[in-house]
Amino acid sequence: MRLRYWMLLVLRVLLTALIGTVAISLYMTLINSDMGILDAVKSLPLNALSMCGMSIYLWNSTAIRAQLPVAVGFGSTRKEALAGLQLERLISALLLTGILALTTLVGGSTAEAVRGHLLAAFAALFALGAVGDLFGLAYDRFNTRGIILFMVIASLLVMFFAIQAIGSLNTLPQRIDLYAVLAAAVLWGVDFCIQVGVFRRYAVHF
Amino acid sequence: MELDEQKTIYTQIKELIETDILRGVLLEEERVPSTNDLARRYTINPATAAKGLGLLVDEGILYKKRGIGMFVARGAAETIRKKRQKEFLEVRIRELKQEAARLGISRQEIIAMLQEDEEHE
Amino acid sequence: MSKLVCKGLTKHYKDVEALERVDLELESGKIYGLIGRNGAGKTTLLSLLSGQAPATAGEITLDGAKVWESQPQLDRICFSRELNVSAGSGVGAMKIKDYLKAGRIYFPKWDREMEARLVGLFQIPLKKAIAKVNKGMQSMVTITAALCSGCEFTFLDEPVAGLDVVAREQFYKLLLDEFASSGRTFLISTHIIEEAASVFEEVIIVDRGSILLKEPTDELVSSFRQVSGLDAEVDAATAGLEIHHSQQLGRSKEVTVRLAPGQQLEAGHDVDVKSLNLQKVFVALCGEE
Repeated sequence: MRLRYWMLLVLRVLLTALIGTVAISLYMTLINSDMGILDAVKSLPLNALSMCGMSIYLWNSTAIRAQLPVAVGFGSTRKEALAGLQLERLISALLLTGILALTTLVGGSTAEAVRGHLLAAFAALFALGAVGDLFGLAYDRFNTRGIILFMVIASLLVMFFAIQAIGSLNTLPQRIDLYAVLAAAVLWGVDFCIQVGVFRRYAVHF
Repeated sequence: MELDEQKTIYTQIKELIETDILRGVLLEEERVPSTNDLARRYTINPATAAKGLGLLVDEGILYKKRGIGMFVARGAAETIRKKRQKEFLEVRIRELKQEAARLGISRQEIIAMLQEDEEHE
Repeated sequence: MSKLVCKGLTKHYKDVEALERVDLELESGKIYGLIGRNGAGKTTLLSLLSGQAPATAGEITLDGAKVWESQPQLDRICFSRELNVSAGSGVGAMKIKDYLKAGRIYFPKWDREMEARLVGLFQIPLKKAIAKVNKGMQSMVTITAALCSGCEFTFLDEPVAGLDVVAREQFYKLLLDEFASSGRTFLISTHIIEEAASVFEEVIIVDRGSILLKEPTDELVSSFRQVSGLDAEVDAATAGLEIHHSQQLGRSKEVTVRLAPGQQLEAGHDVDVKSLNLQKVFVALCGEE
């Protein structure tokens, strides 16, 4: 029943963010050109989406993270509260990957290859991060240091993927998407620090 | 010598019930308020109310019917009256004598005062 | 009968020793009062007892089983603390209805009927964010959560902060009603001592990180006397007794003493003797540095 609570929270935040993201992206595209809506959707710029996507991710994490003290305050074990947080991150990651996959499919021929690579980068970014955090569920075996170490490794792998993706860019949207990747990296770094803070605070003496 | 301006709550509960019995608010063989009734009425812990009632049971003023509650014992009013008369003598008269001693009033003067007072009624 | 026990409980923060080797036993079916000066360690104690913060040393058990990170034990304990909405924390931004919903989810015995009744009684604005309502309303929310939790051991930290006297009276009555029907244990920390004294079966006094005493309220209060009069007479009457407070003005002296069971003031002295109430007892015990 409690897992359902976390999932409902996640879904609610995600849905809000999703609608907001698509709306903002559409708006940004429309004001910059005279395209019809369907065309605008087809050419949704990946950088705008990825920026918004990262924002979703962070926003989720912050909103859900705020639930931690409430959950613990109402008698949840820290283990379970943290597990809820990781579940959220996993769902966020999967959903974001879905968004990116969608834009690739809809995007037609415009910078398809670029998008494909970046999609791989982001997917890896989030999926690895989320999977790494899920290992935190095995709290009996991991202590705080172990979890942080795992997160460091996951992040390095992600950076590796991202750099590979940048290296294969050789089309026009390259510069724009590069900024997107860098912005994503920064946001990821911020989220990483916040997660570490969360773990240090709650993953105590399991 | 002891002048308790602030009696313990259970003592106050005890005296409340006793006074109600004297006044005919509670009659013999009648059920007295339960600990929860008293707790709710006076915003006190039920255990405190129970202590007060328990003392009355010990003194034979109330008796317990298991599962039903506490009831006023036969002759309770008389028991209380006798008890309070004794207390009157022990506490109030003693206070009177102490204060009189402090003020330098002799026993004869006290008796004279009482007689004078009675004549004026 | 259930027991929540802590042994050797110690909590050190960076440079503060909040609790030092505290031993305490709480029984089911009682209302306890927890009093102490600011910073004495009351909130820390409640936080540790309810498994919400890790202890530096010592252990806390409920019927012999460890409380820390153990869901079956945590399900039986509720700590409704003062909502701290400063620093834009997550709780402050939460809507009251979401906060109560979280409570409903996490407490297995949550009483929905009581929740509806209390929301109506206190007129709690469910759609408002916690930080946007006044302190009194925040207190009512924490009281609602505590009472509806249905937990065997329920702790309330300063539940009446910000409540006006009418609301406070409502709270005590609600508390006693719930206690009468459920027999849950309540441990209530408060600064408004005298008002709540009649509700506490036992009183626990915390002073500078340790438990000064834990006694039935009536016994504690009735063991104290305030003796006043001519200084020589007062000294003679209180010779050999445990003195807690002494004040002298000219030849007039006022002394607070504690009588051990069976002890009496020495008779035959011209002194005024008064009883104290719980508040005065507390000040006599913890008032001086």
